[in-house]
Amino acid sequence: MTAVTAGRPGRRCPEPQKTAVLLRTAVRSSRGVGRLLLISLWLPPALLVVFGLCMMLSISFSLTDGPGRYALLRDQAMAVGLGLVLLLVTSRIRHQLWRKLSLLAFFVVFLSLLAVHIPGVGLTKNGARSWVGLGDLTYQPSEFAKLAVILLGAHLLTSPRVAKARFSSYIWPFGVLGLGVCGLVLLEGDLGTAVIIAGLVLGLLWLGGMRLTHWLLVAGAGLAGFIVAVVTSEERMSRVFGFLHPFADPYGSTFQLVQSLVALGRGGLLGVGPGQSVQKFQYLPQAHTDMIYAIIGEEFGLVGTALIVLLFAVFAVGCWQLARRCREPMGRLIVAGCGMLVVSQAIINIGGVIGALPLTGVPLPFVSYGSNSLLVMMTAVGLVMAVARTTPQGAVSSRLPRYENVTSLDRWRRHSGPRGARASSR
Amino acid sequence: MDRPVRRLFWLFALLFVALIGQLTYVQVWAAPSLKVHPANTRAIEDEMRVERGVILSADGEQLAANRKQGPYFLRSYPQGDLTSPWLGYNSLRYGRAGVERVYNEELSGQGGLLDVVGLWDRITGQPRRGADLKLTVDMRLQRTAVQALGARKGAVVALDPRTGAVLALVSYPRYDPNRLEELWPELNQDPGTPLLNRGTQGLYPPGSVFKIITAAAALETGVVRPDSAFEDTGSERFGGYEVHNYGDKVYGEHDFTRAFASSINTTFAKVGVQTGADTLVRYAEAFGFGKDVPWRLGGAVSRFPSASVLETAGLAQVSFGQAGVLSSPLLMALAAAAVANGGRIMEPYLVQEVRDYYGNLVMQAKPEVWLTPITPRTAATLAQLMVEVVKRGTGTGAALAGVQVAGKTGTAEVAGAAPHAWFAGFAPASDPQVVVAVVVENGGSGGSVAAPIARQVLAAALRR
Repeated sequence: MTAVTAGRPGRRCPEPQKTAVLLRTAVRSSRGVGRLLLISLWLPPALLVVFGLCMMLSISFSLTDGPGRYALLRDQAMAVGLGLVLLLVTSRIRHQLWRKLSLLAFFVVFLSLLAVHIPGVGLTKNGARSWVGLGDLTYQPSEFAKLAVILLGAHLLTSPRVAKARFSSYIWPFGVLGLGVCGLVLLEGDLGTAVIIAGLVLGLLWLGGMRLTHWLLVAGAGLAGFIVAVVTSEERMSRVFGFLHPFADPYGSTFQLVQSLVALGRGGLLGVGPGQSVQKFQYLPQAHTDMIYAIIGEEFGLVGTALIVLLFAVFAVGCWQLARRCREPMGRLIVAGCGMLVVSQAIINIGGVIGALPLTGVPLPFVSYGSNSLLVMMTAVGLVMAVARTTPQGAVSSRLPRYENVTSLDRWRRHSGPRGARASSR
Repeated sequence: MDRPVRRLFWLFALLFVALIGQLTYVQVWAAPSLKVHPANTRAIEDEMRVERGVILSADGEQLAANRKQGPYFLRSYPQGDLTSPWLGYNSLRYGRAGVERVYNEELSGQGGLLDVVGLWDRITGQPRRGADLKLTVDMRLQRTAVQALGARKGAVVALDPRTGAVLALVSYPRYDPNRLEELWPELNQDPGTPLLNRGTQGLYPPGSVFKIITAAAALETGVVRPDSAFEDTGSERFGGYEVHNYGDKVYGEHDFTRAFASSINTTFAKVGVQTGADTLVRYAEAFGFGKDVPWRLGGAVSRFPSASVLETAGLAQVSFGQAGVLSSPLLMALAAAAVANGGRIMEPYLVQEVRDYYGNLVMQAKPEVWLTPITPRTAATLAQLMVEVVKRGTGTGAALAGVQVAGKTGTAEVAGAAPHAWFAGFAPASDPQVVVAVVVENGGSGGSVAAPIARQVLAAALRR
């Protein structure tokens, strides 16, 4: 366990968490150190994507007749194909390259977020003006904004300018740009995505080593903004608070949630069987997109729904472990950011569907119908894989004190050699 | 950085545990009560097990069909938006409308004879099956009318004046009933009111089309004859209201036939005032104003001011269909049908026959007279007047080669917007087989906008 205890001299190293120990032992005991970790990064998304395709087939049959029966499956399969290409390409790119590209990517996304509001260019679906039409295809900038925020955050928060560890150096430009994107998305009427992007910004600032008091200040401001956004819209109010009493108005504002709960209840422990859902028949709105988890719950029961949660949890553990092993700060932030993106979105979607959180209209990563979401999620996996490829096997990073952990590139270069040597037991 | 990452991870782990907790609660603990919750699909499931009757057009095209999915039947509308809004929808969430609503009993196999058949099915363990409807609408004519109207707000009604069978019923904007669930919020907020069946529920000032009724009243009460002489100076005052002709035209000396053909407002105001408020109101009511149209599809009641409020100025204006006169396109079609059918208005109907699952006839439409506003003689005279309109009057846009078309145009003025374009007429004039009424909201002049639409529909109807 040299890796864990190889902290800086004079710094107390906390007791390793039990699960962490178990996982590490499991990883260490085999020759293929890191293989399990790699599997935990790609297998859950792969299973989820395949599962999603199966659900598309099941729902496609209930939505349309004739040749259109395979429409959902076909669209989604095409998106998966394109997503695989993106995944493979991004996983082959050394993540340091994003230092050069992240700003460009960010501005492309930023401009397209503005383009959404140009009449004739932007499209409105389900009450959110979030799409740009490109012929038959629709492009949803707010989805890609999530990746842009992660990459830009990973770059800026590990660049020399934050070394001074001043409040302002965290806020400008990353905090401001991130929250600007968040505001634009909110302007589209898409509260769910705005919350996720705000969460990503806050998460990255937190991981970037911001002082706790400063972080709390920013988080408080974000919370205040959220409250204002909710209170000023009656529709959002009813959405945010409706879930607390879903059965007060089962045919009105909480219709979707009630139908979702009924679907989950019908499914029970073991489900009604694959393809046997009744709720998907025109009855549960957005059955193939945001509410797909409810149909899974109806057809596969608690077994199916818990399995989905488990798959996301495995991916979360994988990202966490990879972030620990990665000694390069930007790589760590990318891994943690992408992990946060996938996992938080899964939690927000699932929580909404099962009545633990307000329904926000966020798709379930890898599973829900929708090419934009799928492409972004698969690219996120690609980014994580890229970092995994350059991370030495078995290396566990040393603990670093806050504020010194993510410092200038120079300092990182200066320290990485000896610390890396100490960190690995080679 | 290790510690923040770990803390973040544990936060997520905690959330995962919470999710599993809530999932277990919903899917295990609350599942029994959720299964029997009224919002549950049990009732819907039952309904979905009924094989709802198929709806066919007169020429045998499927308008509403079923798709079997396991034990359930799902409704689909192969014609898309062509038949909305009158065909309606059968939605699990939003209920029913149109034919799907008013013929729900038949379509779901309930009521009368169908209950007996249903009982037999139940004994033999068959699923409940609804009766099929065969409509009077001819899809080829419907398509022609849809194309003729195009993307202009308005309505086209075509019917057989001899029976009252509705041959085409078009309203724009429309919606695709197959996509009702996803479109619902938009449909309800759309200022173009696509859910409204403009043909039966839309109320518009009929403008000069109403002159059919004014002329009917005046001719039948002997106030005028077709050759009665009039003089027009372009404008005339009636109790403080100055009547002008459309386009500020001056016609000079002319007879009543010319006044009808060229739609001269000043002359009709004179004729209306001469005829008197009581008589005009009586004839408006005889033509169906203020009455429910006697068919199951329903619709708006067309309005005509009561005699007590009609001063000279008002009387002059209602004589050419303005100032408080509101008519549905269907009623104007029926007014033209009265002229076409020797003075009798047949009850309109949309369903030709109802047959149960085994093909037995359950109901067949029987043409019935609804109103008889005018005598056959007056009807013949009016028909001649209407032929003149299309021959050399305002309605030349509706003329067909080789067939005599009779009709009347209308250009109903609307405050602050372009006028509504109207046309109501029939063909062939000697042996009327089809009546058509067209309205284009804020479309412009009836002769140049509505008449050509009517011409296409009449031509297609006669080609059948």
